[in-house]
Amino acid sequence: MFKNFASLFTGNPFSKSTAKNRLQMVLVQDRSGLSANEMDRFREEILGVISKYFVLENTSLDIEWQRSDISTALIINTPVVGRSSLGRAAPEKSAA
Amino acid sequence: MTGRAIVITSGKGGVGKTTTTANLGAALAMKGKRVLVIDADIGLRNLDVIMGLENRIVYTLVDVVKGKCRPEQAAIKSRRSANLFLLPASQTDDKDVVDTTEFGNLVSGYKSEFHFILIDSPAGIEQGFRNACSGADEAIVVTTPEVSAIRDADRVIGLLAAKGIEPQLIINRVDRDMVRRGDMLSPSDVIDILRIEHIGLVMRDDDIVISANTGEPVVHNPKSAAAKSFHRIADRIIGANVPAEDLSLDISFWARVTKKFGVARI
Repeated sequence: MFKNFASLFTGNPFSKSTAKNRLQMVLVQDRSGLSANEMDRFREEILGVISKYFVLENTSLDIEWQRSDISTALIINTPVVGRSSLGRAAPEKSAA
Repeated sequence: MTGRAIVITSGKGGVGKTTTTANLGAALAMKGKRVLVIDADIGLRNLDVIMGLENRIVYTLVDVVKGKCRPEQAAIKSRRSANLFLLPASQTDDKDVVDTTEFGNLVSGYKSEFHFILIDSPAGIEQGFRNACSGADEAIVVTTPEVSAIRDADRVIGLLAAKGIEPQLIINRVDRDMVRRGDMLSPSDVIDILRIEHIGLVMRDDDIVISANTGEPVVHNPKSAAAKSFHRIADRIIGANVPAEDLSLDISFWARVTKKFGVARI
């Protein structure tokens, strides 16, 4: 039990959590029909467009492909810190 | 009567389509419905063996399609139930011997005789799958709580949606202990990921293997956990007011605590 004292307060995530994350990532790709390269270019271009109007907090971009019974929706999320032309404004998160 | 034709498919092989078809068919028959189960896996037939009818095959669905026999001559009555019939696949042809129009007509031809027609789809998304879907009004997608099965199920769900069929989900081989340890995706994880309507869970059960050995679908064994699951699903299919299953099965409190403190897994 004390063999690995250092890891007493860390821990690998449960394997099922890893599975869930990996599946969600791979399904975004599968559902969109884009290749990995196309996905990278897509992300860069979207970030480029958003940064023309808003200051980005970082370069993280959440992409979700949601399916409901009548349609499929592409949902893109990135944290944004106010309008770019006004310089520093109050931080706000917004969904695109 | 106009029967409901339901295709049972998955994408991934080996997740339990044939077992599900045989057992749901038997369960529905036990509830008094007239059921035809069709093995659409031409060349790799298995529904006959799972139902213990492998020695009774005279004509197959290919014979019906090609006009070599009448539809009623090819439907084999099951051993245990007078309401349950099997239309077997041929073992020597391959999947291109029948096209989607022919398969669709085949299914329509039986609709006036049965309350339910369950079509056991082959694995994959090629001609066999397309045939199995043709003539179906509804679909059940079977998956297990594993990465490759879920990925393939997602693809199949998309293909079914493109055909205008909204499938319902069965999650098969759920292992309660593995879920509680965090080693297996929970049923709610799977539903979260696939986001389609959920019709049932089937717990992992050694009795399924035993019932395949003997050729007697597990629903005839009242002690089996899987049998209870299949009966419940059959009830939901006929629209009986069955309470939803408890989907709270997930990582146990103890597993979370021991993980936090790095204690070796029990």
